[in-house]
Amino acid sequence: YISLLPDDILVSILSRLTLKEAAVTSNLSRRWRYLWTNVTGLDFDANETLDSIAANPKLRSSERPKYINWVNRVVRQHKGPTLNSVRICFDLDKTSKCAIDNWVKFAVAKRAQRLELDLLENGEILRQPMRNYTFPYKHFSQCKSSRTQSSISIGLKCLKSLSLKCVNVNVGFVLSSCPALQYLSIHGSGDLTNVKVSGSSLVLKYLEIVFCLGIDTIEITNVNLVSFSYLGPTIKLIISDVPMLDEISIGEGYSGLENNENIKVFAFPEFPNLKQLILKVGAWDDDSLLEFTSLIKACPILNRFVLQVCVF
Amino acid sequence: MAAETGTPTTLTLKSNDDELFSVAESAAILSVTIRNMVEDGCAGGVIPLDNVDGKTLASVITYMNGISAIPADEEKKKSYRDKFLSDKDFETLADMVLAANYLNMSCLMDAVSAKIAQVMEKKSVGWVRRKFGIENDYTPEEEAAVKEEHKWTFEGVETDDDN
Repeated sequence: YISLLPDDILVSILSRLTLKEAAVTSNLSRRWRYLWTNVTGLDFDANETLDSIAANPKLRSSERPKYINWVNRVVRQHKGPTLNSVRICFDLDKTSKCAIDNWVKFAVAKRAQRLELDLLENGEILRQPMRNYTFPYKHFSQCKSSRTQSSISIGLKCLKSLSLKCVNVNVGFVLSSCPALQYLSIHGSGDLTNVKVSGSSLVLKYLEIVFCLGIDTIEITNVNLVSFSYLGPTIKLIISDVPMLDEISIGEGYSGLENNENIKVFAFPEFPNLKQLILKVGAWDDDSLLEFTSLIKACPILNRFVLQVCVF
Repeated sequence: MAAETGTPTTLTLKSNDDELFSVAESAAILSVTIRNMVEDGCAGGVIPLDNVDGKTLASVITYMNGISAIPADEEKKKSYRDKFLSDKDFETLADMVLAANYLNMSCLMDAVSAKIAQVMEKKSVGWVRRKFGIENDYTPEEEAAVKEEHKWTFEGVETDDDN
């Protein structure tokens, strides 16, 4: 039966289970004892615990060390030479920097293609950026001679997808050290002021920036980006020479519900190929929405324009 | 070339129990193993597949034809895969995963692995042992040690030095 299958196939099967379930299979028999430590994806999911922390924040201080302990143990035990994906999802801030730094280094050294750090408070809200964990780029750019260092710089070149929530990170560093990156999503980073995504050598296709409150300017020029989405306060947005771009989503406001006091269209670039534009606007009292008609002029071949208004 | 004449090229595959199967090249090259043979020009006559029996190969070919007839629509491909695997018993799935591995067909490999994993989900150790005929060769001491090793699921405290 199943025991006739070779180890690599069993590992492929175990990789489809949740991490906890995969680990439980070590109880089956001697052959299964360490098989699970070769799984190709590590999803440290703790949704149930996060729900209970959201309901009772006092639990946070006792649950954090348990989560960190769990990840540390699995990271120590993992034997597979490489990983496809690593996902950390827990209410963690800069006080756990040491542990998270090690996990990021581990993921990168195992040449993970997808890395997600979702460190939202209670699993659902952004925290003050000064309390955020900071992406360890300083680690990555120091002591170039050591062996770990070279495995890390090779590892960064394998990264295709990076998703960071409540992590202070700098887009310029990420794009210059991860040349294979196709997907980048950043929520709540306090380290962004002027974001510049430029250069035809970049393979970045999807860029999402949500509630990074320090941003002044986002400039996207001369890249093969396919999709861009931005949610946050008003910024200066420059988009030019992005021929592959076919999906843009832009939301202004300080949170999903609250909107700016003055409805003002920021520098809306020209989209010669845009076919559909959906605009969700929150308006107060007698705000005029007429200004948005100018958007249509910027999109000469637009065939569908949807305006959704939430009046407060 | 097939594209020029308009008639699809057909390949002949031979199972390890000497059954012969005809399959359109466009469907067969879902297997990277077969595609490499075609590209190397080794596909002129009959392609021998030494690790796959006739029954499994017939099933894999049904899958190849079915999935390649679906245009680039991941949703539809997924629902075809689910339907294709829904009536397969465990023995057939095990043969399929071995064949998919040998033929280097990642989409089938992923789907069958997931299907087998589904059977194990949320099941006790004892149930999985019985279902899959796995013999427990741990000594009682070892078994206790393994259990102890896996108490970690959210237990014990390790503090962060940086705190």
